[in-house]
Amino acid sequence: MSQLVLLLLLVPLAGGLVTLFVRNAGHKFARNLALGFFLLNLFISFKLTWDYLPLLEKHSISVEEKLTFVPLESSVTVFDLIRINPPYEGRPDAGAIRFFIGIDGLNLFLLPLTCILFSGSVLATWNSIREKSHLYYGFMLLLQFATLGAFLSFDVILFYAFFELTLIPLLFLIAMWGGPNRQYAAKKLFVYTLGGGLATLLGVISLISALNQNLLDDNNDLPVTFSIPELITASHDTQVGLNKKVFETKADKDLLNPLLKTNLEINKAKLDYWSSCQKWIFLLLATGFLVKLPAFPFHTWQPTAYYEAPTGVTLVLGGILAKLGAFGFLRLCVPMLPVPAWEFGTYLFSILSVVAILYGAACAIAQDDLKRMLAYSSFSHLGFCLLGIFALNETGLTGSYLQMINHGLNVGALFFICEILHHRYGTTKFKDLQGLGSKLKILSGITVFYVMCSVGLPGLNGFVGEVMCLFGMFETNNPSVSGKILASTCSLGMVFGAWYLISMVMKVFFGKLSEPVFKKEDPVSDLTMVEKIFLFPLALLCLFLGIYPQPMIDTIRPEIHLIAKLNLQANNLLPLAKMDK
Amino acid sequence: MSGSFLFTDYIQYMMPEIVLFMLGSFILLVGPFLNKKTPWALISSLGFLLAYILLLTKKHDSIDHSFLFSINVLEDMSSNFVRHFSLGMGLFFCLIFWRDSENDNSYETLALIIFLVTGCSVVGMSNDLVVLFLGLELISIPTYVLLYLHGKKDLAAESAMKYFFLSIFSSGLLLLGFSYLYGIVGTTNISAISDALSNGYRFKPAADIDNSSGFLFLIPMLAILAGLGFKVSMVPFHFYAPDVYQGTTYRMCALLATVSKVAGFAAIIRIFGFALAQGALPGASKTLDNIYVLFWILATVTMTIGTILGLLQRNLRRILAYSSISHSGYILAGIAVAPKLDLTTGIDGIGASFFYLIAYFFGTFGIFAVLDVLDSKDKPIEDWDDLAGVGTQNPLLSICLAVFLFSLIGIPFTGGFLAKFFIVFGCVSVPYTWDDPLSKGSHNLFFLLGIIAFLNAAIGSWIYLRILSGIYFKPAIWPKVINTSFRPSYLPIAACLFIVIVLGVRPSLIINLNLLKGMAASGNSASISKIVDPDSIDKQVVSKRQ
Repeated sequence: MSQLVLLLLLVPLAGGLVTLFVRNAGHKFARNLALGFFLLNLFISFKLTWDYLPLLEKHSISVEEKLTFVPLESSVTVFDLIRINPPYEGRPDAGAIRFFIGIDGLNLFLLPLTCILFSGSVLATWNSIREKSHLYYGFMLLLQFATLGAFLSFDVILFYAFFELTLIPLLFLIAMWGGPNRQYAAKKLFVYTLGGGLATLLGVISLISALNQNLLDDNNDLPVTFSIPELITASHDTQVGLNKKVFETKADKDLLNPLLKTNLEINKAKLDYWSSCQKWIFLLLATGFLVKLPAFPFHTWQPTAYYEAPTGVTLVLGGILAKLGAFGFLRLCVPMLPVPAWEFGTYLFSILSVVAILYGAACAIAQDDLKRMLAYSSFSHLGFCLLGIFALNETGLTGSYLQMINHGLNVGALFFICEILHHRYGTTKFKDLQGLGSKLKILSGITVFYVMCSVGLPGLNGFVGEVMCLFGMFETNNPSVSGKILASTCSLGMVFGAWYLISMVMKVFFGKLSEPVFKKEDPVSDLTMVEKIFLFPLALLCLFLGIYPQPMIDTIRPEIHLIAKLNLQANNLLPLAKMDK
Repeated sequence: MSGSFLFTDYIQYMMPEIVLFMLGSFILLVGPFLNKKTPWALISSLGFLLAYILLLTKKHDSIDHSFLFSINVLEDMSSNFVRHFSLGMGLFFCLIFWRDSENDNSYETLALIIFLVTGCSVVGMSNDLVVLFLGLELISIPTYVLLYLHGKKDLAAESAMKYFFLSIFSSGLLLLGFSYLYGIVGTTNISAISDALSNGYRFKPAADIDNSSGFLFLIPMLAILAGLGFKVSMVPFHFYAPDVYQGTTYRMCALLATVSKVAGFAAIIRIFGFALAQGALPGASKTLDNIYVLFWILATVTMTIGTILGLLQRNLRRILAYSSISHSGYILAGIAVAPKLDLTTGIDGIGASFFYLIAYFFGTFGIFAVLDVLDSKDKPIEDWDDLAGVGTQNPLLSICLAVFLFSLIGIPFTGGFLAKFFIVFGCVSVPYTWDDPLSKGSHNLFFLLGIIAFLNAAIGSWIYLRILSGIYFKPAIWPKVINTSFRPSYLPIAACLFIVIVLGVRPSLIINLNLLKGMAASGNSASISKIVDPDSIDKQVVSKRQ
């Protein structure tokens, strides 16, 4: 089955390269070809989800045992890419950057989400990309390749490589097919994300070299490793081991043996060094993910990029690429560096997310344009993701994962609707579009549904994630923050969300009809078949995930449990006797 | 002097260079009397191929390293690397200068290129200050002529003059340093000088070596660094680069930006090798212990100034000149960190620098080669917005250009990414040992260098993005120039494209990274440890002096 996982990556790569070179075949051919590849990949991702769901139950035992992320054995493809040091006996991961991909609970659901939204993006721009469409769809396929690669990779450099590779298709997609200010927006996005990504890379390699400093003295030549599971283990062992050593030497101190005293000092110095290292590395790692998410104060690229990008790309940006940031926190940042995450991460990032949620919502209220409003709404809703992650308990982590998926679906659908309006009227300004409900009946119905999803109406999918994030923060036992105040402040964000989204629906779809005089399409038609194919099944999915999210929660439980447990152990929040694995 | 190495050994070892030099002289002599249509480019390419074959087929260890202090050329990994690299470069240059065959002075151009490449190769293997200087001059003198031959009418004189005066000045500084060094140690042999630093020399026996004697060495070292700094366009010796590049053609830029840089860095690594690769020789050179701080400062300043001034330019040649300056900074960072690294695990600074040099060469050469093809009399390309519309008019060439630009930015899956990765990986893995309080300082210092390097990389990406946006995101302002004829420079462009991508994905196909890792260790400091009897060293130094 590992071939199937590899195929999931190869299909968009091959498809992208093929599509880039069908130059003179017309825009319909390029679009249909790309759609073919996207649908094939969608099928593969569904097949993978279907196949791996039952396997994940057994998987939880090995995660528990090894206390690190474990990709399912049958899904792993691994070989050496760049060997830096000679091979090390008994450690296949040592000394080489490897092509190491696999599936575990954390990335399993993100794969179909990616495939759904990319296919949806083709449907969204069904007739609107006419110039150089082979390049557009080729880059879209390459973007999907890079995104899937980042979700699948278990090697930290490979992850970074895919993470940065998303920038190149994005640069071209925005700068060639975007709005009037597209080049500036594209370059700003590129430089911001590249800078953030380089900070992440610096954090990653500092972590690798800090772990290589032989802090525990029990192994003289530690191998350099780039594998995410091994790095988590190494970091955790170092933290727990040093804590233990300091603790044990303390206990022996009353022997008044001078040698032991220096040992204690050395161990303390090591622990100090390791904690200060961790602090820096944590901040560096987080920077890249904060930029990608985006979170306050690194969000300034986001409104311009979302607004200027062609809506098909905005859909993917908000629906999937933003999740790469949150995914980075869950995959790398929090499990590898639980101590700074607990000590100041919660404090710092929960405040940042409160600011993001409220500031984003306030900005969204003030917008006079649907697309801009959705951009800020997306910024605000992703604040919940960050809030949930840094609650650092199982409820919050689960909530933020659910929010990743659900927000992807909702914001994808809303941007899709935005593109529908833009395609028909050539504008998305509120002052031009009023009372469309009397003309576009089905569209207004489905929009109300998705708005309700996004607002967080109980029973629909948006509710589950956001509420769990809030619950998580509410019950956090981190002494550096007051979870109750934070959570109740953030719940205001949900109220604001209801305010701007519902007033948008009021303005655009209800009331007296007022359309722009010059339309792109005359007469304006209601939903076409293509649009229905995307919006209706997705609505069913949203409803299902709202009513019965339990399968998803169960699937990610081992990973979430692992992250929470790593955090507890590293921060000495569990009794010391349980420290041994 | 011992007679166990023979003159014929030298001949055999240096055969490729000798063949090339003879070919160059032959072309210069015969050129004026022959038909203008003689395919000089073909002849010189064949010459390079022959030299390369000779290099590949030479038997290993043809030079006896046990008499290190009396031999003038070395055979070690760094010399092998530079020789292979420069002969390959020679072939590339023949291909992009191919079109000059139609001009009257084509034979001169090609002969000069042959000399220049030979010089680069000689620098790489030299183990003697005189040989090294000879190699460097073999690069500089042909460059003066080439700059004048290939200048643009109004700017050629200025650019050639500027290069000439500054180059002479730098050679003067270099000679000053060399003679000062000779004055202190009494030999011009680099291995012997390196040894004298730790084991004592004429005025100072080994027992007296301490930090104070470093000062005596500092003066020649600074002079030498200034002289070589000019070759690699290191700040503050970089002022000539933008003006000179602007006054010449793209293919000459390709030559200027690469050959003297490869030679300059090979020379820096060779001469400062004894000061830097001390991990290889226990207790070596206490005298120049802290020279890495100087390199740290130079690296930081070079990469930052190159990046920031590059942002302000419009002219493509000037942009790329500043880009080449900032890339020198990254390479210097690798050299700076080299003495602080533990070679048994992790990464090696000198190896990382060489890797960077390769990635830089193929990226920069590729860009200049593509621009050279695009630049024509009807459609001159000066500023970055002159490239408008090239993306649609010349799709294949612009894809190549885009890949080279991405490589210089440092996007994953290109050589430039791994190069930056290795340099910064070196910087952050400077160890922090518990019993040495000073190690914390260097640990933090190099961590800071890593941050600065990545900051520069992020800011510098804007420069390359502007070129890229010129190519792809601006509507064409020139009508399409139809040019379907095959040009020889397509070959090196394709090769560069291939190599840039392979370097980023499977570099082991091109270079053995483990070999690179041992580069510092196998430099001349390590070779010294092969000498068993320390007394023989003194005798050799003494005999050499007499």
